[in-house]
Amino acid sequence: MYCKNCGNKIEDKTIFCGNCGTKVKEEQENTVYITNNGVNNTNNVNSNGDIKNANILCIISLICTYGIGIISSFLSQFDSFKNINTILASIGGLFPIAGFVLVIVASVKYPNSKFAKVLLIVYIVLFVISLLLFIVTIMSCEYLLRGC
Amino acid sequence: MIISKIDFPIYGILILISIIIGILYIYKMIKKDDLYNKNLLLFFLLYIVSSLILGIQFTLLVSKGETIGLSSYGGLIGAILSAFIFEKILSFDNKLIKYVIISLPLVYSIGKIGCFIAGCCYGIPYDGLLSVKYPDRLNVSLFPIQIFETITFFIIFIICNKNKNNKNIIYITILLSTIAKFLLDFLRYDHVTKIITLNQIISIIIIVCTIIIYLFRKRIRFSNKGGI
Repeated sequence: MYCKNCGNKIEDKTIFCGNCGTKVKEEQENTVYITNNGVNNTNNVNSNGDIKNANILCIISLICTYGIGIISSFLSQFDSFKNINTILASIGGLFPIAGFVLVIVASVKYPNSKFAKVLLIVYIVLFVISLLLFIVTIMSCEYLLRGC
Repeated sequence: MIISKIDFPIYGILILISIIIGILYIYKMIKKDDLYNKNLLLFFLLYIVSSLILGIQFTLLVSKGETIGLSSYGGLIGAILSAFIFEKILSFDNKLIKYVIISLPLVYSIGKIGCFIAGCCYGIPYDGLLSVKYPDRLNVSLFPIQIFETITFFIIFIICNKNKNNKNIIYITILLSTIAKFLLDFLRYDHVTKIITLNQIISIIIIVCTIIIYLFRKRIRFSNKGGI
């Protein structure tokens, strides 16, 4: 934490600031005592809003990561969308990246969201499994690698 | 020098090593500045994922989905994008983008060792000292451009790391790296059939954009000072 008087960085359990000598711990305890009742209700409303925002980000993330693949598989059945697989191969990797970024933003900005935390763990596990499968495929099928 | 195919995915291993070394450099700089953040691990995860996936995606985009490979520019975009998201959107440490950009020449120079051993991104036909042959790919003596790229970009990294407290170091690093890449590209095998390559066109675009952004920001700073 930081001293409210001079901005010096201090340890959490310190009572006095080592730079300016201001009593830090009592100030902060008083602040909590005075504002606690007033802050409680506001905290609940903020928390509900945060969870809602986190859920929205996670749902958009799921659509980016999996929805695009499902939609393009469906569309590729029709003659008018024959080229969709080529387009997907060219830019398809951007959607899982966008999905991953959204879930990271949700879990960092809204750390109380369990949905964001769980989804992040799921993405990491799936990424590790995909990477291992990719390495195994590359090692057994060398022709896939054609230069850098 | 003749380099035969090695039955071992040396290229992939060296790419991973280069990314890990880049991450270690960024971590060391952040710890040194006492800017440690508990979400640093998430940043490194996004850094790896976005560099690799955008590196592969860039090659797929250029080849219209026909060739898989790893593009340095795709990796660069991935790395900078992850730093941008964490620094600007998630209010991470305000030196993250700087350290990521300074680490890029180091990552590239180590990755080029992998290219040299694996036999890709080779140079123009050349029969003199230090020439190299890859019998499995092209049975012609070639210029060892990958080694020159490794040395050049390592020198660029050393220079930029020594001057990392210079307020314009981001622009200096980008300009030095892209100018070097543009010039060294003339010694690559692609130039046997082309006058200018896609990599060089991208280099020119980056150089021009960097200069424009630098002049624009300098003008804003100048007009702000004048207003006071």
